[in-house]
Amino acid sequence: MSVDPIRSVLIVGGGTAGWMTAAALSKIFADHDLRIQLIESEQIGTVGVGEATIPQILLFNRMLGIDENEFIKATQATFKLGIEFEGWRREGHSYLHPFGSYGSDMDGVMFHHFWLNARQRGYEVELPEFCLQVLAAREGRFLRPVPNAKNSPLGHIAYAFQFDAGLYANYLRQYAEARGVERIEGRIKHTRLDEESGHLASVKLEDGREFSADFFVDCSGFRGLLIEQALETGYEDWSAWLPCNRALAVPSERVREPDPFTRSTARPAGWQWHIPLQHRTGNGHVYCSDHMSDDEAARILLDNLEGRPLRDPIQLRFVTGHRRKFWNRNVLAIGLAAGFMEPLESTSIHLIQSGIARLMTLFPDRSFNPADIDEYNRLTLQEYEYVRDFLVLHYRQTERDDSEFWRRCRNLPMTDHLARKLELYRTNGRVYREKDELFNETSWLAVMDGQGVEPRGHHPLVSSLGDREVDARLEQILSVIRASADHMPSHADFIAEHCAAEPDMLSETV
Amino acid sequence: MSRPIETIAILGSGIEAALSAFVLKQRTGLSIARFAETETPALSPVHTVLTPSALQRLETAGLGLRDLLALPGSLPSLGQMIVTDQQTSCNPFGSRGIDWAGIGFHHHWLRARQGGLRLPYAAFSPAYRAMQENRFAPPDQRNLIGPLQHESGLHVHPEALFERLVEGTSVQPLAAAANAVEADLVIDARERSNELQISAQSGEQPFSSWRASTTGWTITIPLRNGALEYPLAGGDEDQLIKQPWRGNQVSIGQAAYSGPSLPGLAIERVLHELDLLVELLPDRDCHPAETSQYNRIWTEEMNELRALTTLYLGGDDARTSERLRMFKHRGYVRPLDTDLVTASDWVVHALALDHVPEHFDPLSMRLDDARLKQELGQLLQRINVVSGEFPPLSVYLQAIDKALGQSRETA
Ligand SMILES: Cc1cc2nc3c(=O)[nH]c(=O)nc-3n(C[C@H](O)[C@H](O)[C@H](O)COP(=O)(O)OP(=O)(O)OC[C@H]3O[C@@H](n4cnc5c(N)ncnc54)[C@H](O)[C@@H]3O)c2cc1C
Repeated sequence: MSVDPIRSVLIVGGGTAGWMTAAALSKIFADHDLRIQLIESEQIGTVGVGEATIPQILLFNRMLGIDENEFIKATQATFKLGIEFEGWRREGHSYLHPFGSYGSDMDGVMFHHFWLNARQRGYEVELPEFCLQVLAAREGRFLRPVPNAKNSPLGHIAYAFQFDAGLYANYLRQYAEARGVERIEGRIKHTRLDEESGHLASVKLEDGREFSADFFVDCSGFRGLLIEQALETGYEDWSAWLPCNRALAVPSERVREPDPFTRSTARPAGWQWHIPLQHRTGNGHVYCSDHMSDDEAARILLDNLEGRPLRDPIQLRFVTGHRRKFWNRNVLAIGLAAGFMEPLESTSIHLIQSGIARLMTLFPDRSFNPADIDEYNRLTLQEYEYVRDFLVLHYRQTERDDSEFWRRCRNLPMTDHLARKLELYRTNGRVYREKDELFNETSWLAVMDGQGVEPRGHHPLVSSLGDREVDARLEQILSVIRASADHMPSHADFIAEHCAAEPDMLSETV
Repeated sequence: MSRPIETIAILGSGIEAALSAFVLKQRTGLSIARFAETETPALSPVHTVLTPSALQRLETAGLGLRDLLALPGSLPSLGQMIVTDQQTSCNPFGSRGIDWAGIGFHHHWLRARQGGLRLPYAAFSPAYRAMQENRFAPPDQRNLIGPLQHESGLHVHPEALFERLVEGTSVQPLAAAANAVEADLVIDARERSNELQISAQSGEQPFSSWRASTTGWTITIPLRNGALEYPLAGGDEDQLIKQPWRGNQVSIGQAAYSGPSLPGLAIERVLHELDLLVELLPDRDCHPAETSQYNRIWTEEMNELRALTTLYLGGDDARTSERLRMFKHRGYVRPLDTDLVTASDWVVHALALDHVPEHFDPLSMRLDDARLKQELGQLLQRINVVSGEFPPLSVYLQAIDKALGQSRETA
């Protein structure tokens, strides 16, 4: 064991980030001499949004060892097979970014090259038709992957959840408290640095209580109470790439069976989300205040709800970007305190999760080895940059020029990484994933195809198969995918059978 | 619409050129012509070891293990025996132990070692005992340890491999001006000239031996009919070509980077380069986006390969120092962007060279001491049962000869 182990961790903040961190630490350091405390302030509250996830969350749940059906019931969750982008390429157009692959790769060549070959000869079936998740999402179906069906698309159904953020934090709180995490209610007023080391020594609450620890995790949200206000770490502003800076969020009444996907609809100065849960629907409008007033944004949001709003919209202001250091001295920032890139691809909760995983790998001792801290910061920055480039792709590759905002988006600056990816795809349809990149080839393909990026060619090896052979293979794959989709029950039936929330919980709205 | 390439010319008279011609023919079905600069093949002892991953890549290209075993001189291998003044350590192919609680096994091993365990890291592979007792068996998923398998490689005589690769293909002499060769794509796979001598006497052993010397290492690779021995030393010629692919010309293998290569990696890297080339197979325009993607991936692979080689040969390499510093501190290797050298390769090689980290990952403690002891004990027991069932190498070879002989008769 380390020579001088960390004996106490203080987490500041009880939002999704704080309780995810607390739950993970309490699980991993169970039976250890590690005191874990969490301070939160009911008076301040949490952002109260963050309801759509990506499939990696299953790994987090598995690590905690929680029962998935119980978790779904407790958080009023539904299943998510992807994100539908409506009007992003142009008005009236829509596509789904699915959590599953297209067709199946053949002879070491990715499937879409076969499709590109056929399409360049006039084949009319669109790429999404070759993805089980797309068909299922469109038809409101859901099924968990079927064990022992490795050769069928049914064996590989990747999915995530859409859940109530407040209930999720509560759920994790119960989990963490049951494993010894001490929760402290109160508002932090002051922070004190150690004069010699410059490390954070303690935090002091309004009521005068003072708490010290070896290691602090700042989960205090946008304000970055420790990482910024105490340590003055600095912030990298990414608005040049991701200009949206405000959001209005409002829950609405559920008026129909929930879709197994999140919807993102382009609006004149941003976009609107629709996240169907078991008991209600989450809605929000993300926009850029340079191009739209708050009143106009609120009107657009409320005019486009499926059901009655359940309260007034709340407004959130943000600047996209990240702290110059995610980990500075003995303070690690996780969640919104670390950075925020906007919720277009539901990445924030994942970034919390991957921050926690990285912390576990590089968990410090009291010497706080600078090499470990640099490594954490390097890996995290890389992850953020890859995500940013994927988000920029959605905005930049639009055909829309119907508003000032979209015209600005078409001219967003490119990074080398994004430029390279686009050029490779345009040339011969090649899609590459960097080793540590969150979004895989399918995601890049889905969005590049969905946004209308057209390759000029395809992998040359496909041509050597001959047109008839390629067409026959495509037809066969299509029929397997179709048959697999037919086998899936409806999303509503699946929930009803396995994980419907209790009726009394259904009445407990926001 | 793209204009597919139809012809590939390969320059070179050694194994790397023959391998390129074979793999590209099999994988692309295109018309391949090879042009040799010398009449007799330039063969090098560095092409004697086929790692498990090289075997897999060859299998994909249509040259299976059975075929390779049938070549004169082929001898199965379980890894390397590394001999320095201080110690002799086994370095079997494949993984060791089980990553309990999602934590790399080496952290659990380190923890147990700090608690008094005397067994080396490699002892948690079934190949460890087999290497010492001169036994061999290929991996078998059905045995007691299931997915915790050792992996097996193969020592092949370069001449035999060369003959097999060129079987039935023709070769033309390469005129003085290599750029006079016309094809849609030209692969330069010319090697440095090398001496190939069967020099060492060695019994049949299922591993190569790497003996530290004053200038580097002496590598001995046993075959069925003798052994190849050659020196491995840091060279001053380890220049990377910055862009192995320019226009319609791609340099592969030593023609692209001729630095020293650890046994096994010389062939594996050529196969990797060929796989990457097939993945990015160009059309006749050879677009800069694709060639620069190849060059980018290739450079990263070669830099990592060179850094790992430096671990053995010494010298200045910032990567090597950084990897080693992080590893020795807490057993950590950052996630790598490369296929040829992985993070677990660094762990295996660093430990084989006795670079033992000071600290283990505290997450190993998710398994309490008693449980760790119990798990390790049970694992060792199962490993011992499995490796105890490996037949002596000589018995295995007889069985192989019989099986191959029978199959030849039936054929
Ligand atoms: C508009 C919008 C939409 C989003 N949608 C998604 C999505 O769909 N999917 C997704 O993955 N993510 C989404 N996110 C991100 C997601 O909401 C956050 O990553 C997640 O909620 C984590 O927030 P947090 O815990 O870091 O911060 P918060 O929820 O803000 O929590 C901060 C905590 O710190 C406490 N605190 C602050 N100051 C003090 C103090 N002085 N004293 C004591 N306590 C204090 C607060 O009480 C609170 O408990 C979205 C974010 C926004 C803004």
